[in-house]
Amino acid sequence: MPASPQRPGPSTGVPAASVELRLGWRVSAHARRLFYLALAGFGLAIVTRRAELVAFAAPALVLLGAWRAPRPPTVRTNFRLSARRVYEGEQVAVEVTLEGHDDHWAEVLLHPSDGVRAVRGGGRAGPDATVLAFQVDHWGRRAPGVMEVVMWDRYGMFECHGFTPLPQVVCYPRPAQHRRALALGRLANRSGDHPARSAGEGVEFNGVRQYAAGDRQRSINWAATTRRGRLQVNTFAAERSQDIVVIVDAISDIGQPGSTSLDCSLRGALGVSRTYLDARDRVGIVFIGKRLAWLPPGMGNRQFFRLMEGMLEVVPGWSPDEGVTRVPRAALPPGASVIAFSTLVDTRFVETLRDLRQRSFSVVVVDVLGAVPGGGNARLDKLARRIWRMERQALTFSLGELGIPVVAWDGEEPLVLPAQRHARQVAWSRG
Amino acid sequence: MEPGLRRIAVTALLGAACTVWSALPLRGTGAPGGLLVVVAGVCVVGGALRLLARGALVTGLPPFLTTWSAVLGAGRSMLQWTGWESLAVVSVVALETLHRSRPWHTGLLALVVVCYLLAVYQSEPPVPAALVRGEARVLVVSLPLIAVATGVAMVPTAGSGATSGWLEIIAALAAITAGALALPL
Repeated sequence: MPASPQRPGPSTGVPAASVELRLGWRVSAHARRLFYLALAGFGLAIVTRRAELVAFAAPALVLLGAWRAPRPPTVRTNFRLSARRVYEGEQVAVEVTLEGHDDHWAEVLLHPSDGVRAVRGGGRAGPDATVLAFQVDHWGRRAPGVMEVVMWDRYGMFECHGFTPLPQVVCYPRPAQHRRALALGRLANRSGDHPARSAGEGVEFNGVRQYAAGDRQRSINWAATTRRGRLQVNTFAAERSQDIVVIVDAISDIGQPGSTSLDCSLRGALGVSRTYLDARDRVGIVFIGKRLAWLPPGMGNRQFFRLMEGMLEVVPGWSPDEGVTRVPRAALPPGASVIAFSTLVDTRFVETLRDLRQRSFSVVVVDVLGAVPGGGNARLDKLARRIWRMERQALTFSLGELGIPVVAWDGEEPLVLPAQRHARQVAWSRG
Repeated sequence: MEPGLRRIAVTALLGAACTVWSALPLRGTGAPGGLLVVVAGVCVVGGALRLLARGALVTGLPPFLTTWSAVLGAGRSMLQWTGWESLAVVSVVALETLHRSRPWHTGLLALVVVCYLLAVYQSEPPVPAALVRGEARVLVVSLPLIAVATGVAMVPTAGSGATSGWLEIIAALAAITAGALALPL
């Protein structure tokens, strides 16, 4: 798991909010029940003229005797979220303090909205901070829910409820594990971390040659010099960077909520982007869905945040008016390597891949379709599934023939192995 | 057993005890007695299910019960009706009146009914334990007042007419009210 997009704590600048809650006091359910019991006992005592039934009224009368009238009409709730930007599965703490509740009992409860799970959903409120916690399980801009303040008077005769919504939290897809940033295609003539075939000032050993005027003394290879009788120097490979463009197929979104193909695609895209940005490569992204959107390649942490923000705007589906399958030139710098995350279910996206290959881009496809067509065990169902599998194999084979390797990824295992296997083939083919 | 589940079980058992205690002996109460027993039993069970349905807020419920609570809470708003326990205690008091006068039995029933309502209160999710302890003090100071009412009913009356019954009721109510106002709460 990478570092959180925004670490909790006061220094992160997450502002505290203060809300004054107007309280509507009413008789508590418990007091109401005791009074119903008293009414029943007293009423039946009168009807049946039996004095022992008056005993049922005793607790309610004691409660009335203990009644104290003054109750605060308002209380001030101060709360602070530990983070407003999180990855999927990360917890957010809410620090709550209450002012002006006098000596009344107060509890604070968290009512999470859909897609949000309460980890610590309640606690006693007071001048000291009470910490609640929730967890966002799915990416998106989320309203975490509503915080409720419940107060009782001394003996629970009256109670009141105050509600305040929690501010929006931005949840980014959890980046997939992808450790090695491989050179997928042609390296640009920019300084980077990938060793190139040409000699340069890198750290990877390239060979030995005869000393020439201007060579550094520290690069002299003394062992080779002794053997050959002339001064020999080590040469090193140059280190270059590359342009990576990640394409996310959002035309179809298949699978169970929380682990759909689009979820896997975004997590994979973020994992790949993180790795290549760490390797000082330029990374861009293209979303093909209801509308085409892209972010041109860039470097550094700022680009990573731009990519994450862009992911939140993805709308799955297809629109005949705005949907475009040809990736525009502005999104794809010359010589860029393309990593596409797709289910390969929609033929329009397959055509996009063929078009990219025709434009001489190096393309690797990560197949994120984790689902298999359902159906029973009838003979026709089995036959249909077999035909479907054969069609998928034929599609994969035809893309492979075009020089587009396809690797399957289930969204759980690290992405490094399949990408590495195919990346090496692409790199050699472009020698 | 988990604490939340244990509290709900205690509530249901106290409700059942109230119903059985007020129903015995069932012979002689006729059809109204049987009907009230059924109503009280259904209400006690309904109240327990309501508490289970609200169990999503209770930490410590087993997963299968949380799922069951979610199903109940989502599908049946009828179950969320908070009047189950009120109807149960009213039925129990009505059932007690179907029997002949038995003051000590009624006094004990009043005590168990109040314990039942206190257990219900304790099982309702956001109620803090400290508040329930304060409420328990109300129960404790109610005990002598219940005893007073029972004692008044057991005192032999001078006459057998309607007036003596009225006087007994007024005496019991006056004693309880005076005690409630005099208690240092």
